[in-house]
Amino acid sequence: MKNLVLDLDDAVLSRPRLSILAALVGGDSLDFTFLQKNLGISDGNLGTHLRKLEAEKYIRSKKVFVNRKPKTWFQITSEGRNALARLFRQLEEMLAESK
Amino acid sequence: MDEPNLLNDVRFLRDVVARTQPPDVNPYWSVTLSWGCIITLGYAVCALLGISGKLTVIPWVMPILIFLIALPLSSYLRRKVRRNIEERGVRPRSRKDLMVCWLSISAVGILWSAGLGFSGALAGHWYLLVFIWGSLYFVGYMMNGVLLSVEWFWAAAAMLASLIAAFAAGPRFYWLPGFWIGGTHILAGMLGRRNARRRPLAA
Repeated sequence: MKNLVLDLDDAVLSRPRLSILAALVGGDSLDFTFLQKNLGISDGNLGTHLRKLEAEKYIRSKKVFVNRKPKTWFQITSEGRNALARLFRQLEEMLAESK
Repeated sequence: MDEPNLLNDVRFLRDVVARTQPPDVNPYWSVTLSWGCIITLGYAVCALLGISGKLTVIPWVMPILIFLIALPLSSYLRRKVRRNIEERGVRPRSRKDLMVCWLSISAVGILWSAGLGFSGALAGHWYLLVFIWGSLYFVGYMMNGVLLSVEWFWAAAAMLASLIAAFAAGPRFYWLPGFWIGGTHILAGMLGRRNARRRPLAA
């Protein structure tokens, strides 16, 4: 069990970051305000977690201008999907071991 | 990580799985409805032209309606719906799976139609074309039901019922499935509208 816990990906296994990936895993791109409103994470906090996920290449962002106002879209990458799937498997293994 | 945290995360992952289920609401119902109305109108015009004996005009009706009215209208409606969704903070992903499915269906239909046309089989059995396209649309509707939204299952059921009814009723009713290609789009559009109003998109 201890080894399995040590193997878990810290970049995914934080509640806010897991929430962000969960929101994005459907495949649609979501904007910053939508994520903030739906995940209940503060501005600064959300920005930090998004940057961390982007640094790990689990999500990608695209900045566009709508009516001259900047809008940033976030989308999950295949690395992000794989990381989430790996976490599922690891948690399942942990549950199986704890039985 | 201790056990209560792990349980919380497992509960959270269950929500993740729920989020990845296929959607049961199609926000693009207006596009479906517009196609249904135009195809039905096209069939009605073709029927009237046939009754009045103006047979040479019939092959031009559908291409004119599709290229001059249906495609620009559906493109306008699609952009409008997409803009509304994007204003809520969601940019829908491109549905390549659906695109590939419908391109495959269209390619198979065109190949069958061309094959039957060139072999001369259509001269004596025009209704084969209607049955081929009706059957292909039935498969497409089922795929839409699985990949897009539930109302397409009703459209598929209506198409299947019209194919069976036409078989049972005999040659005088062989036009029925062709007519229902437009009718089933209208049905899916109306049901999609009802579903979208019952379950509006999240803000």
